Amino acid sequence: MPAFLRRLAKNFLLRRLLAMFATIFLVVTLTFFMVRLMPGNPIEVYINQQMSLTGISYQEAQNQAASLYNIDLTSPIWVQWVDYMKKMAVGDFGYSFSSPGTPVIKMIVDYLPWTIFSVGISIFISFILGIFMGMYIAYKRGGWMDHILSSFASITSSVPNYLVGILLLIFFGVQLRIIPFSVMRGTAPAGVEPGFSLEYLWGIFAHAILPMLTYIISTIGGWILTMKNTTMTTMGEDYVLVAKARGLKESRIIVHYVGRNAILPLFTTLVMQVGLLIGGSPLIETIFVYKGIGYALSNSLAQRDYPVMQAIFLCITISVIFANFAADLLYSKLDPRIKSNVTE
Amino acid sequence: MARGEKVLTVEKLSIDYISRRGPVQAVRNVSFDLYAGENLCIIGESGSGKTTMGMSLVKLSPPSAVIKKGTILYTLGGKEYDVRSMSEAQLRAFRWKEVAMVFQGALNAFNPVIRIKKQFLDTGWAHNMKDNKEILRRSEELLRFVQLDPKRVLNSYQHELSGGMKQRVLIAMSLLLNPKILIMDECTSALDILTQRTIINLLKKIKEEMGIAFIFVSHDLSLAAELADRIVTIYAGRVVEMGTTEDIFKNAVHPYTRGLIKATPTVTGNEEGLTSIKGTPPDLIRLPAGCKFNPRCEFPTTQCYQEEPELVSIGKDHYVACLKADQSRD
Ligand SMILES: Nc1ncnc2c1ncn2[C@@H]1O[C@H](COP(=O)(O)OP(=O)(O)OP(=O)(O)O)[C@@H](O)[C@H]1O
Ligand code: SF4
Ligand SMILES: [Mg+2]
Repeated sequence: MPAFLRRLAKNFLLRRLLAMFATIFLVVTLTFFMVRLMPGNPIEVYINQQMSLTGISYQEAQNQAASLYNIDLTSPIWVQWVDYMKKMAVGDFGYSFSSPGTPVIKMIVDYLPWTIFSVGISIFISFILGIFMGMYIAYKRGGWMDHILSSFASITSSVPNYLVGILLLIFFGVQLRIIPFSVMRGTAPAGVEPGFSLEYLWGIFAHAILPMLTYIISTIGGWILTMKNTTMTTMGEDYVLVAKARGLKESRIIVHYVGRNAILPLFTTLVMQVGLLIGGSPLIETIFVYKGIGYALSNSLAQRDYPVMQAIFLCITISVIFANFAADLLYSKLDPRIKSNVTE
Repeated sequence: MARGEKVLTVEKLSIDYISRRGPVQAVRNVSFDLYAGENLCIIGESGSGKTTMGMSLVKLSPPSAVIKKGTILYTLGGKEYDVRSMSEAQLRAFRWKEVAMVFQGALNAFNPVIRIKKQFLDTGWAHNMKDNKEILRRSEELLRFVQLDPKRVLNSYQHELSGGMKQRVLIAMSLLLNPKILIMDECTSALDILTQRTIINLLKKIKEEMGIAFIFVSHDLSLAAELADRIVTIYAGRVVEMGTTEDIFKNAVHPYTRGLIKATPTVTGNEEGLTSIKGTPPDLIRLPAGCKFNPRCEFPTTQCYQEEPELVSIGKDHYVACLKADQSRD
């Protein structure tokens, strides 16, 4: 093998990238065959439905289905597959089922940013607050803050997030009437021109506040407890004792000796959460009528809108795979012990 | 050897660990002095309280350790430091600058996610060395002194270094601020014979060239034979004998010290003559009455079961805590 090829083969980044694309390729192929070859597959169901509902011929119904799914149903399956893969590669997912004429890709472009916005900010806030609180109570073990935060964390991290959402809804919207819930539906304030105006930004923020609160409350407990745990373990490490013996300042020990090491194991989980973000939370977005990708997903499920479902699942899969990849890369950047294993 | 000034006085030091079964009496009524430029070896079996005592000398005992009584007083550069009454801020400036301590767990002594270079810098910064170039110049010099390649080591992470290398890096780091006292706890235990050799030679070199006072804590009497000016043997948290190296190896009085010598190959010279001390160290929560060594002593008297012997002088600089100290001399 030529030297440059051997170097390429040894390149960790390249190997990982290839593996990633291979996985995505496989997943897309699998979805294709699953939808096409399953008995009672959505396309057959659709064709039969159309025939019995509108009394059109099989040929016509098939044509309709073909245009909906963006596939040619008459050519051999492998040709269809190649065709399908080509379209996927350029983001052509066909047309929505429930709102005919709307390309699926447009729906994704419309819904996805709201989920990324609301869940993204929530993950960020939750993580930052969680690790600070976890670290704080690790240092103030047995204090009143420890008791309060630890109990709060154990309770909230064991309650499912939709329950938190419903409780928030009842508490703020129905009981206290603090938040005008009917106005808060949707993702953006009505009648305000989108753009970087303060009014608009404040509007989209206010609309996202309840879903975000739900995400934060239901994930922060996990961060607090894990961080408390890893901090306490790290505090007992020899190098922390030696750092004290070296006369290092307390703040330096807390941040660079305990903090950096305690936070390491949390990063993988964080990045994985970001990957799952794309899935949004169908339940939460439905509870608050927040029009993100999760809302779109639960709608498409209810209406058996297969093209949309398929596209959203694909997005979720791809983002999880990407997140996995990013977690590996990030971890090898943060932890020198991993890096040297990987790049040797 | 001409003796320097007294730099450390430990007096009647007693330390308990709080435990569920009751207080663990890890250090009991320990007194000793340390003089400038000397090497004092503290020898005892595993679990005899050596580390507990060593950590208390820089007030780094774990939270479960309680100092019941005693004084730890340093006299360094014309200043007195009463460790037990120093504030955290004072202690912080004092540690490593005046007294550096190399721990038993040196294999894990460095932060795994920060380069060694940064950890040298950290150490300098903590003690108001502002000039990075100067800190690094000194670090390189010390690393060369401990026979390591400075450039390579400074750019490494701790997992890229072998156990013996880490131990030497830590020794080099302990010298960064020119401390007056160096406490080393079992700094050779986890290493192979050859690396041990390197480190012992290194310590000899440090002692000769830098005039630092050492407290060398170990369970290995053969190391003491090579390094020590004076030796303290401790048993069940208590000093049972103290004397010059010559006193200890030629005229040991306490049955425990004698047992240790008989069990050390390089000192007796012949392998066949080796005998280990029978029995096991006592439970530090329920200590036996009288002399704590009586269950393992060869010729205890009835008095040994009633009365705990005091540490008494039996010669110039030679102290022993045994009720039969007078008869048992050779
Ligand atoms: N944190 C602790 N809590 C309770 N007991 C402890 C603690 N650390 C040590 N001990 C007990 O105190 C006694 C003395 O321990 P120490 O570590 O000082 O012994 P050592 O002489 O250094 O032994 P070694 O040669 O094995 O290092 C032992 O019986 C040990 O079980
Ligand atoms: S006091 Fe008695 S039991 Fe203790 S060492 Fe001396 S002879 Fe043995
Ligand atoms: Mg020890």
